[in-house]
Amino acid sequence: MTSASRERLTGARLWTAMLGPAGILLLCLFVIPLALVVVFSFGNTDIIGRPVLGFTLANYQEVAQSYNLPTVGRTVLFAAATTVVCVAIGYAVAYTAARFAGKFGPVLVAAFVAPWLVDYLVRIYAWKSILDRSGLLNGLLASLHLGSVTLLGTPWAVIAGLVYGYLPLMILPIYASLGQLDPAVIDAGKDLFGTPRRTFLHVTLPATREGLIGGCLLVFLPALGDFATTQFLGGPNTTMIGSTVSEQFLSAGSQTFGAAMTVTLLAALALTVGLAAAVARRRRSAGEPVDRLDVAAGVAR
Amino acid sequence: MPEVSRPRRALPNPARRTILRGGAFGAAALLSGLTAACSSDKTTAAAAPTVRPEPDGDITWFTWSQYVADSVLQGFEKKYGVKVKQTFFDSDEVMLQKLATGLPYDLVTTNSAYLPRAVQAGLVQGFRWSDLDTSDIDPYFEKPVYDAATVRYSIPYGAGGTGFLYKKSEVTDPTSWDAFWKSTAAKGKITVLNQSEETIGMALLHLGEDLNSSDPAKITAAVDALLTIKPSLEGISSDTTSDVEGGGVWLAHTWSGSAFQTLEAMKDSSAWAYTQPTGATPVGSDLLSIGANAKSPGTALLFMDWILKPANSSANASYTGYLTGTKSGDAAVAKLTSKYPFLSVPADFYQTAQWKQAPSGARQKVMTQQWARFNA
Repeated sequence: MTSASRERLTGARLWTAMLGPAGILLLCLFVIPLALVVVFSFGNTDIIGRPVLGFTLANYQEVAQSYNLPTVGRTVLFAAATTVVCVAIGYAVAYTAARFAGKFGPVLVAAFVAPWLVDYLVRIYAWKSILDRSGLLNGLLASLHLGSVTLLGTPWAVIAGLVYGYLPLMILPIYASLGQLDPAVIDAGKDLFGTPRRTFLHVTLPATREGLIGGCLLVFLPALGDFATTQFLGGPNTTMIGSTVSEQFLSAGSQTFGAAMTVTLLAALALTVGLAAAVARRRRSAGEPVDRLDVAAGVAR
Repeated sequence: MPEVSRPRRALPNPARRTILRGGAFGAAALLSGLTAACSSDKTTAAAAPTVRPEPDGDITWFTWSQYVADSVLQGFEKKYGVKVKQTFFDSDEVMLQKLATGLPYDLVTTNSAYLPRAVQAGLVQGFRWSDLDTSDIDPYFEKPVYDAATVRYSIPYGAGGTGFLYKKSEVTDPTSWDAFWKSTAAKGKITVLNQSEETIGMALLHLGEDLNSSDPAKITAAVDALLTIKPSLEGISSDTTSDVEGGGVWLAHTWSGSAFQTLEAMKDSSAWAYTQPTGATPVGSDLLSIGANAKSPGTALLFMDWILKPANSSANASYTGYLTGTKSGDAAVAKLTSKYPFLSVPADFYQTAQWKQAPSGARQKVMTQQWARFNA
């Protein structure tokens, strides 16, 4: 073996070894707990409701009960509404920052992302004190003699909280993909199509599709699993899957049911993402344009 | 008569700490489950108590928030030169779950309905009754049904019934549980307790069934009844004081002591009243126990003795509004009844009460499922 190849090998070993700490961390904090959840989703409970090993499908039968359907439907609806609102606001912000704000673009994006430096629960508490019956909003309305509104406990409050919580995850990928878009392509589009609207629909939007899809996944998936927002801003009739699961883990005797719910939710999410990825791959291999040059080429055709 | 007393919660529901615990604590609970599974989970036989009533360090007390008079706590710390660190839970189920993870709590506020299971699972340790000065204790608590063996696991701490606090002008039929179904004026301003055996129990009583029924059909019917009022609920919450203070709740399912504390906090409580439906009131008692993994069980036992001293139990009773199971404490509650008549109880209260039982075994399974159905 030459010394050069030995060096290469040592280098490769070093890099592999450096995966160790992260791998161990991932194993301890993610893989093992997840395996425990899977194992206990088939388990029984002891006299004080602690999960014990066993094999029963009873927990999954409980998940399949029809009374869970409204919660599932509501969760998907809330997450979808959150994603739609985030797309509308997020695209506008990212577009403004990337195209019109010049050197202040990053500052604008940072302004939207900055609240993320504050703990999530603190931010939700802030919302609670704004929307509360005796909170800031109603105080303002009262001082203007406009009566009062009940927002806390409604679906609107929950969706607003979710949008606020996940908006940066929409802005960042769209901003990144807009940043890669050559302005000349837009000019070319305008030359070919004429109106700004058609240019946007046929050039800009397709060129930033990857960022948009990424943003939607980053918002939709965590919104599906969110549990704190509805616990703080929602009411008894805005239960989401995540809050149901967290209830089960805090309540004696229902951790196995909570585990089965978690596994079911994970499986459903994995399936959704897998399907989306498969569809994207099919479209890509079918020769549809995926990057901006292809888009421009397609437009020119 | 109803259920156990609950002190008011200091934080909005769900408490921030509950959320924070969700993840970490869920994992810990699962791990403890694994441990239980691997160790074949033998329940401990009643071993001879080893704890001596001697100070052996500072103690951690796992309890409800705002559930002890400051003077009682400070007096103890001063007398024995130790610190009492309180850490809080906001439902009995959470208490039991956290205790089951094996955390080293020295002193735990358990409950008459939950103690038998905690004893069976070896989560609390026994002590000698003779190590305490029990001369002031009510005869009923010399050998209560939930703790009747030779080795003792608890002393009474705070007892009372479950009823409802309501704004008089807005509630229909405030003498029975029907109020929750008939008070259309209070629509959207109603809360029920976030504890399954309380709320399902209330619906069972409303339907004329037994509070502790384990019949799946009756429990299902009770939840059906609860689902009809669910659209009218402001929340499923045990945090009565802040719910009512916020102005958004006119009819709150709650415990006598919580009602007392909520009314005490009002500038003018004349528009409000609290009722425990006659013959349909669940009763329970919070207890003090020593954790199985206590680091300073001796100090914990001394603290129990301290709590039973007449001056201390009456100070606590005046502060919480709950019966203490001692002659002095219950006399202190009797003094509050001129302003709060609902706190008055008959002489044979403990003997004739409808003691609430926490779900266990098959009943627990049904209750858990039906509670999930109600919450969905």
